Amino acid sequence: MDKLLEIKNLHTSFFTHVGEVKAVRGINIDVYEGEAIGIVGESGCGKSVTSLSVMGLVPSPGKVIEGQIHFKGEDLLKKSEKEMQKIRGNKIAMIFQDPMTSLNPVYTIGDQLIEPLRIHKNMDKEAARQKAIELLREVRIPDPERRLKQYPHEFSGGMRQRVMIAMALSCQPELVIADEPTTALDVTIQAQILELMKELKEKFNTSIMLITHDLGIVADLCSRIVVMYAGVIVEEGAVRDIFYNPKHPYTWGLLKSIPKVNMTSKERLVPIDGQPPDLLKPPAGCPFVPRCRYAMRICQQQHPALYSVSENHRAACWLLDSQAPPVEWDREGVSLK
Amino acid sequence: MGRYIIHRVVSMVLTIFFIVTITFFLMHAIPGGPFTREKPLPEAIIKALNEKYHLDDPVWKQYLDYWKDLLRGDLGPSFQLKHRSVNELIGLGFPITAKLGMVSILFTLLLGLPMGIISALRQGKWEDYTTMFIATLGVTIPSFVLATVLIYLFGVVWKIFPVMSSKLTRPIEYVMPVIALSGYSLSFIARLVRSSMLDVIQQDYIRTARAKGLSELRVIYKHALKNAVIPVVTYLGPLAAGLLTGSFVIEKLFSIPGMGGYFVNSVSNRDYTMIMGSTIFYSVLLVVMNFIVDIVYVLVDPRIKLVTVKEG
Repeated sequence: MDKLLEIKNLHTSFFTHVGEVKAVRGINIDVYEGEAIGIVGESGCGKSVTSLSVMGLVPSPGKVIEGQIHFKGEDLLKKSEKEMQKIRGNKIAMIFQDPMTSLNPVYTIGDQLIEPLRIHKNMDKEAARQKAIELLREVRIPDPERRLKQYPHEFSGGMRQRVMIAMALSCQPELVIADEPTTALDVTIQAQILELMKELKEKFNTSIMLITHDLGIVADLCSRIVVMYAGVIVEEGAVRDIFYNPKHPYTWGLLKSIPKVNMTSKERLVPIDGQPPDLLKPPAGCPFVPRCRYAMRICQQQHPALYSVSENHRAACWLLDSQAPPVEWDREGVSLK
Repeated sequence: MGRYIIHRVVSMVLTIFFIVTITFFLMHAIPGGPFTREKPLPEAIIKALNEKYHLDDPVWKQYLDYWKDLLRGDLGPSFQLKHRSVNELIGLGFPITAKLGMVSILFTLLLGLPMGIISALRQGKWEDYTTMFIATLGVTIPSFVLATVLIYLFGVVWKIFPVMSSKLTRPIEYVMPVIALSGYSLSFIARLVRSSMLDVIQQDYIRTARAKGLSELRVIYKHALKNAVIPVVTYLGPLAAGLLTGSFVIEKLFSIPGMGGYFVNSVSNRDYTMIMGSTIFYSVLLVVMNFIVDIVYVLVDPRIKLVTVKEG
């Protein structure tokens, strides 16, 4: 498989009046053709900023300050705004978190759906309308001819997210970035939307970058997972690796905070105590230290490199160093061997 | 929608009825009358005049008589300007005021909207500071001060524009009165558009529009602007009514024989019929403008549905 997107050493900062907030601090992510990759982490860990950096839409006062973003071999960071406009919505499309606010309330669904088709594919109005009807059918919106003339407020949340998906897929992009696409939806609708995304991915062979804080939803759709914390990647690997052989204490924490189906009502979820560090003054060592039960002296002083666990599985944790005491993870808990 | 319009028309008629009634009785409650002079007229003349204009009838009878005339569209004779009816005076004054008002509305919108948009898009830059400085001046400086300064500088010192604009036949005569008349509303709209535009460009759907690959120009003019002008529409009704009925001060300063002058003079002169006539005229204009604004709302914002309470 070929690399479709290659993010190399990306640094994105926000230059606020209190100082530079380093939201993304040197991350490397590869996305292969036809692959779905999940980027997981809690709020404020830099997931969304990464996706906006790829789109070239980091809002002011944010700025990509270092790194490369290669898309099909070309560096997106070197492209002009005009060139980026030809890529956005056409080669790389985005689905956003809140479908209730992501559609313009004063234009019809049809009007908003045909827009990318008109500008990227030079379709005339009628052809674009026909295509829009087809797209709505594709995302299973009943009665598309009538729905096309309606406004966003006449759609439910799940239906709006279907519209957003249809809009993202309209120009058959090679990469779809889905930023928390199901977070604002209730659970049954979440499952439907994920199912739909999975199906469309197979059908159009689109690569997907799924950004979420919920490990549960990536398992089904993605083949690889990247775990981010405080603007850096702490662990990456195949879904199996992350779920069955996680190596980073933060990933352990994330896994333990997922409710299990067979939980009894007495059992409690285990949260990760504490707060992520202030990225205005990122720590010199591992950013997870204050919340980590296994922190050692070295963790405070030096940021760990990514240790290879297996071929595609890497984690940035000193516990993986040969000099560290062995720590073993199992579903029930973590124990020192 | 049909039911809504009927409902609104009925309530408009009721509003006008109450305005007529309240104004009529308040007006008669004020001491003095149309023929009160500093040097009192002879008793006999006042008596004859009162008789002629039926001012010696009981107030309730005058009120009913007034309605009889009003329903025929007759606003009665002016008590001050002999041999002129109120209808005639409004017919003379209103076109002049309306012409000036129309130009002022256009000026307000054509300049106020872009000013607000530019300062929002260039927030924190010199364009923003410049327009907001002008807009703050415009909101705080009273129109008569602005008019006086304009007349002095451009009319007297530099002699660029004519000081008297009474005829309003040449475009150049409009310049100063229009600026003075629309200074406040222009600045108000600029500030209104700026704040609503700043709010709109933060919205998720603007990010969606950008992610589609639309050019920045299209994002602003198609996706942001329509949302940003919604609050402006609200202000448009009273603005239009206000500018179309003119300003007494501006008309006085530029010697424009419009409605504004009649309106104010009629009160101090106790010109009963003229007070009633101009009040009714202004009220009808305001009520109709607000009605139009509500209809325009639906065209701009599809989320708004016009329904009467029972239907909803």
